[in-house]
Amino acid sequence: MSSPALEAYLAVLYTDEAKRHAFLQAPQAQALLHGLSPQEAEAMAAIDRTGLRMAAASFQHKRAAHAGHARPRPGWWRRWMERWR
Amino acid sequence: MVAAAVAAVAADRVGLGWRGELAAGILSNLAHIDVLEVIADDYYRAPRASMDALCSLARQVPVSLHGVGMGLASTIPAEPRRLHAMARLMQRVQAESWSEHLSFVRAGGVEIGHLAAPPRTPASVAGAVANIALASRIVGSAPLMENIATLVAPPASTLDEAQWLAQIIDGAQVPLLLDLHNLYANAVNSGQDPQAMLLRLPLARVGAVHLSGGHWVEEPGGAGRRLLDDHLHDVPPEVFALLTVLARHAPQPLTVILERDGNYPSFEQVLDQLALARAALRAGRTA
Repeated sequence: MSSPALEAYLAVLYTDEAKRHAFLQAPQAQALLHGLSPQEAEAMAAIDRTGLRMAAASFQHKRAAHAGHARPRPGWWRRWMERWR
Repeated sequence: MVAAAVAAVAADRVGLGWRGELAAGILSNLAHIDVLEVIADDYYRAPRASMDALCSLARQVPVSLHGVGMGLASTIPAEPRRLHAMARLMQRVQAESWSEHLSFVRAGGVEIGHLAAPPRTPASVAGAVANIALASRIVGSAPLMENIATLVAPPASTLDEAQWLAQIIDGAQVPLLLDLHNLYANAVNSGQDPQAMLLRLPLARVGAVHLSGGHWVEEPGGAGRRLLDDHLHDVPPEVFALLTVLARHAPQPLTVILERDGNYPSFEQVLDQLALARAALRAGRTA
């Protein structure tokens, strides 16, 4: 396993909140829909779901900071976490 | 102390990552800084004045260029234009070395915006080895390759992190830029012993070390917590302890770089961190 298609789908899950939500609702079906093999889709269904959400939040913060040329500040993580409560 | 350890102590170097916010402190304290690491991507399209300043800096202190945007650990071939940008910068600055991350940063036309861990598989090992070979040809020298921190265990992996890193470093025949805080964070976040993970790496191939800090964050729902590598905090004692273990087991000289990306302390505190790194190295060399 590990293919360009799998990396591309991971990139989508890390950056697209709606597609990430859909994946978390039906992981295997969504992975198949995005062109992954049955074996890859099965592996994706076993993903560390908490880690996926945390990584996506971290990447989103990095993109936002880069877009605004802002330096990271302590406490940003707490603000992101409040969205999940 | 045996002769090899004496030589290693003499050749070990300690420096830090160049950041504009630290410039005044760095330039006032070059006697305490053996080497600087500069983010290469900040200079690919830099104006002439910035380039001249960087070249001037490189004439005063050894400089290593650190790339963040190539995405070499991928089954997708690296984009040659990014490699040529590093080649031009290396030639212009005459830096002593360059480095990149074992990560992917884009795929399928989507820019992730930061360093992401690919599935750890033989396919991503092969992709990384091929990309590193291409990068080495274009840039004209081999990069040091850095392990990254990840909050998510990469799905579909068939190798653990130590196996995956070792296979790439051995396959590509490049030095490892070992980020000890990344290693520490990944170990504790996956319930592993950081020192045991360290000792499973090809330590004889470590060329340089990164030190940084992070902080613990709650998982969604408050079920647990994970260590976030944020470069906003001091290096924790556990990471200095890993540096001592590394210095004990790696006979070659090491270049240690302190990374700080924000929440900047006084420069005296930065110098204290460099002194702690030197002490950790010394403790390992003399053990």
